[in-house]
Amino acid sequence: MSMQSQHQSLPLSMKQVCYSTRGAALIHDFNLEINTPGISMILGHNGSGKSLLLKLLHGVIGPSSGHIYWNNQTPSIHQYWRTFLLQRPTFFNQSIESNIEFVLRIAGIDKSEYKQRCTQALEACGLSHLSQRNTTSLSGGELQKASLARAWVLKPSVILLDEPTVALDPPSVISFENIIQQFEKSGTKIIMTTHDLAQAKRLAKEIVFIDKGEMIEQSEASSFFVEPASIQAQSFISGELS
Amino acid sequence: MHDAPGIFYTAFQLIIRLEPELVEIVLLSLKVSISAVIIATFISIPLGTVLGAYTFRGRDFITGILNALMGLPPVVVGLALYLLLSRSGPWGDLELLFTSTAMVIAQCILITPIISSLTQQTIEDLFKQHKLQFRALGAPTRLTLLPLLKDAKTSLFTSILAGFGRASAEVGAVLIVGGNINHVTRVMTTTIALETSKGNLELAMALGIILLAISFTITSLMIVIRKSQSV
Repeated sequence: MSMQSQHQSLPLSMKQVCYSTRGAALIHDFNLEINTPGISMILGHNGSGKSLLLKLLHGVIGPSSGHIYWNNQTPSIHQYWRTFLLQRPTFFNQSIESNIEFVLRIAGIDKSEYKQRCTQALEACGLSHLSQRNTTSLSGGELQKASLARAWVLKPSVILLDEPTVALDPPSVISFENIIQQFEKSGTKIIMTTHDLAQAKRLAKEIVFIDKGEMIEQSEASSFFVEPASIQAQSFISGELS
Repeated sequence: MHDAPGIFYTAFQLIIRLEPELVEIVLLSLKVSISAVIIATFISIPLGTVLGAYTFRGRDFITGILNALMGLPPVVVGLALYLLLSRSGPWGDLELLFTSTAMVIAQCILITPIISSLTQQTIEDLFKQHKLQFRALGAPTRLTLLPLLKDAKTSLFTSILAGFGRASAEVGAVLIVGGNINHVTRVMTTTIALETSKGNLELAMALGIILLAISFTITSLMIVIRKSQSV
């Protein structure tokens, strides 16, 4: 579990970030500072802009205005110290190992390291026994783990996860969360979106609560669930916000 | 009045006996069509892949041209090629008119747009499916092409078979640029046309049966490939 790179990624800073498309402002005047390691959970109901926020943080899309900095660096998709897990990952119709090797090739990793890195990543995600299995024959839980292994193989210092357990059954969710926690313990910064309060309670050190594309509240998970500062967060926790 | 059962009987006899004239025509037909398909494949797969995976100025124009060329009338291709290859034409010095090479070129012109367009559609669909994932992985398009082609291999093979089907059934263009010369450029389709007009229906029927068998084999192969892909 000691694959993590020593890249200095934090602090993450978003200043007056807006994202608009087709005349609609989906993220507006968003300010955020993340300085601490551990799991930061972006919480909000469906359509609040969580996935969009992660895409902005990773660089998959750029902001319409404002600035995003990772340790004073503007995000780009070619910064391989930061990896991004999509809610619905896609794979080539090949073995898990081939899919992982593809990522190593993209990142320009020396070919001599492929085998060792693949083995370590698959082992960390509990997929060693499925390394040669074609991705088309994997279950939803196995696919998410394969996606995690594909991200982990690059030894990232930050992993962004977009509701990775949304379609998984409870045992698969727990198994996935255990892996995430192991990665976090090894020093990897985890930023994850969810609308699952129970999951946020189990994993989060810090909560970033967003609603309608706006940053509503950022606080320690322990205080957020006991005493949310905003009315929207109070409504969300009590199940009233829609 | 023709004796249909008699014609069929004689036609099957010719096939079973492997009549030398029949074998020669079939082999030349296969040689011409396979050569055309190989050349067209080497042009079409890279062309279709680039058109399917990249967005650039002129892409829609090229796509439009290719789509229009898919329905190109073979006789027009034959005529254009005839003018180019005839002695007074710009490529007359090559002395390719009424050779099997000219027939390969004609078939190649006819099937390249078909294989290219089908390849483009396949790669475009796959690329759309993976587009967000590729961005999330920071994958440059050029590095995604080989794995995408591997994923698309069955669809691409089906496209190539479709091209072969079109090439082997082609008559207009090869008749014009090949000239249907006995032992030189006589292929199945042109022979069927000639022998039917001469009233030699047995040989025409034998070749027709072989052509149909090839067509059925290609169709069956395409079905088997599609089924194996969907499993």
